[in-house]
Order: sequence, then C-alpha cells, then structure tokens
Amino acid sequence: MKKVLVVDDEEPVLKAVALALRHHGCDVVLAPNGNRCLEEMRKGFAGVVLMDIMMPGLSGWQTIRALARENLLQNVLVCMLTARATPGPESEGMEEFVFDYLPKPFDFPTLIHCVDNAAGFLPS
Amino acid sequence: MKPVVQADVPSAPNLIIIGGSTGGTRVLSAMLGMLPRLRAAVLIVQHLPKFINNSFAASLCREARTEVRLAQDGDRLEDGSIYVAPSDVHCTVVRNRLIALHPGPKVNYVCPAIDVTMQSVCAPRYGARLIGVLLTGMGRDGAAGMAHLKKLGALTIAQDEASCAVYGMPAEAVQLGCIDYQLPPERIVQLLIREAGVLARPIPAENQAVNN
Repeated sequence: MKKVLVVDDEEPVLKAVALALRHHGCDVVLAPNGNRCLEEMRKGFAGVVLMDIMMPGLSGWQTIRALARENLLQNVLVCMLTARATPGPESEGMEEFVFDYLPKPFDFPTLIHCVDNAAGFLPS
Repeated sequence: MKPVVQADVPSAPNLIIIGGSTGGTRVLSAMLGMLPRLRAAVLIVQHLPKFINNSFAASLCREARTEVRLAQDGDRLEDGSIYVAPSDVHCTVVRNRLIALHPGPKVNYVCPAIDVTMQSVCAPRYGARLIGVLLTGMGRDGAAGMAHLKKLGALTIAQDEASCAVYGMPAEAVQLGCIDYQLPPERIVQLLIREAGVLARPIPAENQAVNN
C-alpha cells in the first residue's frame, strides 16, 4: 500500500487531501506542523511526503533541512504543496531534496498523479 | 594523398541531452511514452535520490517500450540508445561518443549536475545534430550548459512555463538568451522527432525467419 505523510497546518487541506488519498487506497499519516513531521520520520516513516511550505514554526524548507541534517530523507520522496507558483529564496540548495512540486490550488487527479508517480519509484 | 574514407572515421551520433529536476520524472515518463526510437543517442540527467536510480530507469523502460539504461563509465552513445545518469557522480561525454562518470563535488548544489554534462559536449562533426532540452526544476542547473550547447550550434529547447511544475531552471536559461524554443512536453517530442529522425524498429527475432 502506498504510504503518504501529509504535512500542512491548514486542517481543511489535511482533511481533504487525506480523504482523497485514502479513497485512492493510500495509507495516510497526517502531521499539522514540521515538528510532527520530524517525529513521524524519526519513527521510520518511508513513503511519499507531501509538504506545505508556509507553516508557523518550522516552514516546509526548514523542516526539510532538519530532516536532511538527521539523514532522514533516505527512504522518502518529498513533494511540495504550496500556494507559491515558484519557490522563494529560502529554497536555495534544496534541489536535491525536492522530488516534485504541486502549486495550490491543485485538483485531485493531479494530486493522485503526483503521488502515484513518486510512489511508483519507491521499494514496495 | 590518400582520400579520407568516411567509413574509416568513427562518427559521433546525433546527441540529445535532456536535463530535469523537480517534477521532471512525470514529464520524462510522458515524453518517453510518446517517443519512437530516435536516430540519436539520448542522455537524461535528472536530479534523483540514489535509492530510486534503478526503479526510475526501469520505469522509463516500460514507458519507452525500449531499453533505457543507467549509464556506466565507458558506455557508447549510439543511435537509439537512451541512458540515465546515475546519482552521486557527474556524467560527462567524451568526444560526444562515450560516457564517463566522475566522482566530484556538487555543482549548483547537485550531483550529477546538468551543467557538467552539457559543458562536456564538444562541437559536433560530420553533420551530427546536437540538441539540448531543459525541463522543469528548481534552481539554475542546466542554464549555463544550455548556453554552452547553443554556442556549439545546438538546437536548444526549454519546457514552457505553463507545463512546468517549477519554472526555475528553464527560466534561468531563457534569461541567458540561449533558448530557441519554449514548448510543452508533447511539442518537445514532436520537435525531437523532426530534428533527429526516427530509426526503423528492428525486426523481432521471432519474425526474422518468416521474412528471410
């Protein structure tokens, strides 16, 4: 089963994305902020990570930097979910860690395609 | 003086180098699904974590319905061949004919860097075509490489903004003034077919006896 960790501070987004992905047959874990994402990853999450960028506390980019420092990106592919059409300066140097990028608002077929594409490369 | 016989000179094939990063795997899957066997060698440099190198090449193989190989040091670039640069080493081409892999520091924060590959290309000889394609991606990797290819007379194509997940790398190349066309993936494929030409499919082994 495809495993997806959704990191977003907006509850309606979390719920809608979780609903769509579970309907698609994914095993979904939710994290409302960057610190919860770090906790899930330290517990050994492996799969696709959908990461919001603009979050209070740790931003999406800061979360990815923290994950990279702890060497926790070895078994995941990170797709950014963001209201920004293009990444800002904070994204400099993140090229090697970000697998895909999905600007909000996105439609569910695009979300599913993005998740299926990434999950297709992961060990089953 | 003895005339030079063309057949005595090992010629480099038409060469297409495709660079991609964030969002590039989706585009490459779609493009290879539309692409016939080209009269060109195709070298793909897509920023990828190492642990999915093999599954990415295998996935492109399925889409392309032809062999897509993870490049190895010394591999020969030939018409119809498609190679993917492996992670954690830079991938260069030697006299546009051979692949060479080199460990080295990251360039533009990545390894392999598209710039390193494209900047290793030399001017094509004997009329061989040279084409550079730069797909969606964050940052600026590939822009300087595309400018280098343009100076060598290559056809340069960037993915257009509307179809990019991130219009970063293509935008940097456009700003350098080295891009001939900005196109969505399906039109990039059409242009590659037009410029490189298509190889006849080999006769499947099981049909050869019938045809002979």
